[in-house]
Amino acid sequence: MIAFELPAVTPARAKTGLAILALTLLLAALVAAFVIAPTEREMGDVQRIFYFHVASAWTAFLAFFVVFLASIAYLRTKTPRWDIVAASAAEIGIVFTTLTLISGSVWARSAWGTWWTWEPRLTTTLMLWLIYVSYLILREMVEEPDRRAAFAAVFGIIGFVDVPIVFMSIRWWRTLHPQVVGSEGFNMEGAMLPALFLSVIAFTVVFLHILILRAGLERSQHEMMELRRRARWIQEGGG
Amino acid sequence: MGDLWYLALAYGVIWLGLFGYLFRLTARAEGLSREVNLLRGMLNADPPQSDGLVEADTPAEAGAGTAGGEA
Repeated sequence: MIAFELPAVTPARAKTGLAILALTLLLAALVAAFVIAPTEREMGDVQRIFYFHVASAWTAFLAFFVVFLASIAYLRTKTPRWDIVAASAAEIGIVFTTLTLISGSVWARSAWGTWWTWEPRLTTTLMLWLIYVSYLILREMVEEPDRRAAFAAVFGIIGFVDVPIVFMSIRWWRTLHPQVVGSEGFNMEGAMLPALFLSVIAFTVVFLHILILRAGLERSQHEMMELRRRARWIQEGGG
Repeated sequence: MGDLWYLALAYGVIWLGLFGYLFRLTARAEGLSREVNLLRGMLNADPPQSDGLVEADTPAEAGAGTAGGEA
């Protein structure tokens, strides 16, 4: 039997409050990126892609870090709750990695004249996306819940190795990708840094909101499977 | 194509991607909620299943308690 340490459902009012906060912060971040932040001297307005692009990449890293932690927690406790959190965070991480890759590609087309180039940051980010897509495919392939959760947890821990590689790739290898965080701190001027921080905070709150929604969905799926199993059992005369 | 076009394209993709995903999640959650309520109603309406099956330690309730909704 599994202990009930936390309420089964996040109160609707809390969910609504978080959604409103996320939307407000997103709109504020948009204003900061387009109105408050100055126009970059060399790249011009297209540099403004950077605020949501970096925030999206940060959120993807955060989501995969949650997968990593939840996977360790699952292997230690064997509590299905952690498996649900890991699966939910992985899906969200893939969504934000996709948005990072697309927005980066649009920026690259304007700045470098190409939609894609096999340079280290882009290549390692694509690898990250493929690793977590494989994670979800693995989950689909194993039917037995405990084995699925255990395999996924091991995969989720090993897969996280690529996150620091993505982050460090622009330092370890020669690359075209702009270096936002250098050895002397942030390479930005004036109001660019607050605009970036606001975007990162907004995306983090959006991530929390989506994680709660997605995990609740996973819980409902588990409940539905169980109800169907009970209904079948009754139909077969078990009741 | 000018800078503004690329800027609009990038932000458009991000907003559409985010809200599209949120919309899809919400729609799936509503569909599942309807189905769960229907199944619950069916199971509770049937007298033989009503005793014992809705105890907190049944697998269904345990599943509900382990949810990540509180993540």
